[in-house]
Amino acid sequence: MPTVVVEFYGTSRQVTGQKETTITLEEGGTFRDVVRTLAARYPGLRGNVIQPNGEELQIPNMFNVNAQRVIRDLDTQPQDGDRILLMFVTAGG
Amino acid sequence: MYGYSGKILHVDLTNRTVRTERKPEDWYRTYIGGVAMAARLCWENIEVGCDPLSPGNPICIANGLFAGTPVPVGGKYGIAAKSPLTGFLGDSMSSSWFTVALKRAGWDGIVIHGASDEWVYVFIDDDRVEFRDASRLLGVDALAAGEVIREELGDDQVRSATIGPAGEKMVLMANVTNDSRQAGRTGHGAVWGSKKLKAVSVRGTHGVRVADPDALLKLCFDITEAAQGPYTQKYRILGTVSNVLNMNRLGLLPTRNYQQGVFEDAELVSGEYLHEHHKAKTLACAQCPIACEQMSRVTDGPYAGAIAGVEYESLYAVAPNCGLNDMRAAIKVIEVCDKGGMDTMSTGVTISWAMETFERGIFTKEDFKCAKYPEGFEPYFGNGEAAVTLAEMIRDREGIGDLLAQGTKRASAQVDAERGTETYKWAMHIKGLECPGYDARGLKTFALGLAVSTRGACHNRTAAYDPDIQGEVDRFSVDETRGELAKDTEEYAAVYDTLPLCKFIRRCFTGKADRAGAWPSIAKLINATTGWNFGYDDVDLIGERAHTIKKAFNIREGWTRKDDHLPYRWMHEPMKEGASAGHVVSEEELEYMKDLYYKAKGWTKDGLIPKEKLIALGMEDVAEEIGV
Repeated sequence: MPTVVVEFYGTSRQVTGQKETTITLEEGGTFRDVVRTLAARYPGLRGNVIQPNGEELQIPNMFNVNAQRVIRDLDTQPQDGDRILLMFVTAGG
Repeated sequence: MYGYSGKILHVDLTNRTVRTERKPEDWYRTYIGGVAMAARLCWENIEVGCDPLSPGNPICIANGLFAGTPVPVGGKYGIAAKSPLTGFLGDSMSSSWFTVALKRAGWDGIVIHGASDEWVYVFIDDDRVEFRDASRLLGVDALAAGEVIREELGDDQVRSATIGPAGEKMVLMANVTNDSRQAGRTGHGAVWGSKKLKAVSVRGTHGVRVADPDALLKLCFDITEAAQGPYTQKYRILGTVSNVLNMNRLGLLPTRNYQQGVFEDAELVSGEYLHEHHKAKTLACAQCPIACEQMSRVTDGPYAGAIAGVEYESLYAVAPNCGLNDMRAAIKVIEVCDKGGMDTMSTGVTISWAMETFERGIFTKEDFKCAKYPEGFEPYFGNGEAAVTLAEMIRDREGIGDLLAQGTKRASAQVDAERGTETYKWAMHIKGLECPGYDARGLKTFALGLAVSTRGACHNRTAAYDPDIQGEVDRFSVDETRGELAKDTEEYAAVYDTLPLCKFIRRCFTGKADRAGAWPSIAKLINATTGWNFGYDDVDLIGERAHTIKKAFNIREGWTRKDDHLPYRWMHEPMKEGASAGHVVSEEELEYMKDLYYKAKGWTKDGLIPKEKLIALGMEDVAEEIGV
């Protein structure tokens, strides 16, 4: 069963009070399952970071895998050992 | 006309005269306001080829269309002049009450010509203009000057745009400050200083007439409500400084003068750390329902009492990019810049250039003698007191501060000429403007956007990091899409900079920030304000016209294709560690992307604008002068 680590930044770190969490998925588990797990584990993420239905990320939050690529389709599968960055990146200031 | 007064105020500092210019409605439809209108006023009023610090360079201020109305985040104005840093158009923006007052005084814009023999400030009291002695304001810091003027005039409703001590000394990275906000980049404070102009103060007592007040209010309520939700959470809760850890993780956080993209102590200079240890309060500009400015305070140590609004673009420059892991010193540097009236980005990047030059043994302790440290000091990376002292020396043009006050391009050229060195290889600027807080070696579309920007290295004028960071394209590679992307993102940004609306509102219309998500709502705002009948395509044209007038200005001032460059470091030194390790922007990649970009713009291979293109945009007189 693939195990991934979700890293929290900004609001998600404030809400969870953690820098990261480990999630073990069922075989064939997807990034949407990661969202569902986060929504269940940290209900405070619903609204600002995860949509109230617990199925989608709230725009403009996104998953970036291993700081290399952004996940555009939540129904794809992470690899075992992936580090998933949950971030809200918009430049400015 | 609704939304406008139809009047531009011309102020001549040399002869101390004023006149009113009336502009036709078509002119407003073409240039709208903000950055585009200010650029157009500069096009019309500059002595072509002039020294930026000479009387022939006008200060051009243009209100936003929505300033003084209820439109959320519409309290903004544009300012333009020939930049003393770049030699091209210096366009900048600021927000809040000054522009509201100017709109209420009945002026859509101001053009300030000439230069005064004595220090003055200009007081605009509705349609009356006074030239007032500013001698007692000299040395007053940029945050306090407006209050001193209010006391002098006995009216707490007077709003001022001022320069600080750095502008008085024509420090090339000096800015213009109003209501604690800054028109920060490209050196406008130096231009004001060259004219002996300390401030422009305004009392405005009229209302702003809009075409359909009921429709406008309804639109504004909806946007304001959306602005309290998730689309702006980052700005409201932590502010833009939340980018520190994100950029660090992506390997893009400028560190030690862009030698690295990862800072080992990023947590200590992060937005999260700032929020927990230093937050004093959150501020909002006039007309803003978001409130993003994180006022941060130092409560202990040698800089206790320092307080500053800390934004990401200030923080990256003075903290990781100078190797600082002490947030207290970073806040102090920002405070020195804000009070002195200096751009934190250019100041921080210039200090980091000096630090690297010291660490490479070209500068020595002897070079850093000053009144505070008569024997000199050692500005190694991470030395917070050195960063604070260098900011003060730049502000005062003291010692080596006189060299650094010219910015990295000129400072490195002077050192290299005098000492036979190659410090230009780590002078991090484009067209003379210091680089922003994203290492473009790991953002290839953004690299193109920065290289071709009319303003120099500015993240605000090109939004080309969006497709890279949000994963629309592979941020590490180059392909045939990048020219169109750079064009689309810079013209997208130009719409916001011309209305102007703060870009932080961009998801609050429909939840989607793209053109389809935002333009229809923006058209409704424009129409309810002006009575015009703008649609999607008209909004889109705002951006293309705005960018075109700025480009035309630069072409007339001598721009050529080779001016669209990147810093040596980004093109020759691959990143060493982190998520962007190994990446660089090669000469071949850059030139390929420039070809794509000029083609996407409908320009020649040399980046010049065909006459027919300008005529199609309604810029016949521009076509006559620079069209090919």
